[in-house]
Amino acid sequence: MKTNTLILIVIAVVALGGLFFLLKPKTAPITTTENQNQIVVAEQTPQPNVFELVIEDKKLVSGPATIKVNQGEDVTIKIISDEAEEFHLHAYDESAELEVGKQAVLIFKANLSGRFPFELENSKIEIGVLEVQPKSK
Amino acid sequence: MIKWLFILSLAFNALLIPQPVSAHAFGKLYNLPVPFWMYLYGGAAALLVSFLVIGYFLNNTSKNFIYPTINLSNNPFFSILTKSWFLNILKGISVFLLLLTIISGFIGENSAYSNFNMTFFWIFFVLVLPYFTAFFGNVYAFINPWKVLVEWGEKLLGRKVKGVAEYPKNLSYYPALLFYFLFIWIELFGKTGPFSLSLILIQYTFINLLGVMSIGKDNWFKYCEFFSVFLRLIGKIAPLEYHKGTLYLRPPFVGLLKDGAEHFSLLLFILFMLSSTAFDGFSTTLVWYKFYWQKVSVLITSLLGPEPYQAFQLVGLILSPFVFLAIYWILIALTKLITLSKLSIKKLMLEFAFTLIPIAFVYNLAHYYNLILSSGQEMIRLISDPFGYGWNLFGTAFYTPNLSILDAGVTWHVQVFLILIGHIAAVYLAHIAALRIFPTHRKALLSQLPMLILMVTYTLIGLWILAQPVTGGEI
Repeated sequence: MKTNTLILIVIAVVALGGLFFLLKPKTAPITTTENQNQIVVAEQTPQPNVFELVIEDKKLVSGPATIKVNQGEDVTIKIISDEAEEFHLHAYDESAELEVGKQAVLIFKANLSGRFPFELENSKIEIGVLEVQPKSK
Repeated sequence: MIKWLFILSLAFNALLIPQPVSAHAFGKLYNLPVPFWMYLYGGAAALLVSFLVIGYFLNNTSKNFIYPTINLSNNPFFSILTKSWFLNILKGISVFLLLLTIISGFIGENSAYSNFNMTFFWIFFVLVLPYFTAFFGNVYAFINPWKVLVEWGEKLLGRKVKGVAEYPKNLSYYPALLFYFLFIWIELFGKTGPFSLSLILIQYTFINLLGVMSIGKDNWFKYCEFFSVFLRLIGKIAPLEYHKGTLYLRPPFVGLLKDGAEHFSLLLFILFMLSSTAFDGFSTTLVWYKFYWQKVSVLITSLLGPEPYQAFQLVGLILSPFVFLAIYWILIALTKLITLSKLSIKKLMLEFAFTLIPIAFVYNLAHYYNLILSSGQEMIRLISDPFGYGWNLFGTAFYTPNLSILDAGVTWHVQVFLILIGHIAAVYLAHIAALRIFPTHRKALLSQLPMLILMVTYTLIGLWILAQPVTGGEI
């Protein structure tokens, strides 16, 4: 009886491990899940991660609502707003003062992976999200 | 006395009808959707392991499930845990924390992240305590602050509170289920702040007092007080059990096999454990959002007026346990058919009900554990400045959370791993339960085929939700 259990456990470990390595993607691309229909940010060519956001009447009128980058990359977000506000990126705790008509620039390294909303701090309105794909998969 | 309490309580209600907002009460989840290949892996692994468990039970026929226990009373550390002086200290701390949580809302800054009470309640009481309970047993049974207050009241008055009415046993756990629903509604849609949280807790204290005075302490805390019922169920997972003053070590999950659910309301409660977490995850996905704005909104705007998204969310939450109930009912009906069992479908549903708890638990853990890691760290700062006054009692007032521990890749692996563990436990438990319920070994094995489909379905739903793209409100 005990040998049978042992054999089953060994089969389980081998099968689960084998299945894992079979299904795990070989490269570490910045692919999104199959269900998303957002544009994939290329990772092969060293494209600078520069994003321009235009905010009018506390809404995003131009620029990506979802900014996608890879962990470890430098990110530049340029924001222009029609009213004075504070642009705040959660978790990274990066902020930029927005003055009317003046473009604010936020430069930082995407060292945290995950999904981080950014908002107009004073009005507490979410404008969009930053998605940082992890290095480890 | 009861009349006055009741009137006061009702009046209090007027102050805090939860305003439905499409926002979580507290806490920011920074999780990314699980990648598709991991979702595939989780599903395939669940299926694979389920068959291996069947294989194990092909030869294991023991009807009597006996599990080893170790008496811990000889262990110096564990023996202290059961001493009444130690428990009294814990009870005192528990009531102190309840009072501090309530008072913070009145005297502290009314800003969610600057006040001790929000982080303490939503992270430590609502999340850390259940997870702690799963590992260390139902400590809440001893330190429930509302129960302790009643016990202190009884000591002061010199008599026990018996209650003015007999508890209608048909009501069973439905009151607890109602409170569970209201709690989840507040958690998912009510944007509470420190002040409104304090009001809610005062209201709940009134409710507890009223309840105890109406039907007595024992029945109230057994059938009606939400956290008591919830944590008692979770405590069945723990590898610790407590019998007549003695603590025993036991294998994990076996506590779920001691009996079946005693009433349909308890089954619904367990299904709501599953569905409320699933709904929380599902309601933030693109699929759900699109379904509303592209299909439902057009249909019901005429009926319910403009902006009925919150009504849609509420309906979704109410219906959610019934979706899981429907799946459960169908597969139990199949089980009865396959085994030609004389037991009713309802009886079978109750007998297997507790085997669903591991799945419900890991759903919750996989969904929220990151919140403990991120928002939980705020407590380090908050103990030095609990009211937002600018204090620095322990020198940690400027601590900033280390968020690098939230690596998305690690999170995915942990989430899938947890869901798998819950699945394996549930499948294993269902097998053992079957050996107890069905008259022959063959029937017990046959019954596990529909049960396998059930568990894999629930597990796939959990994984699927974790893998869905999340919406920040845009389509």
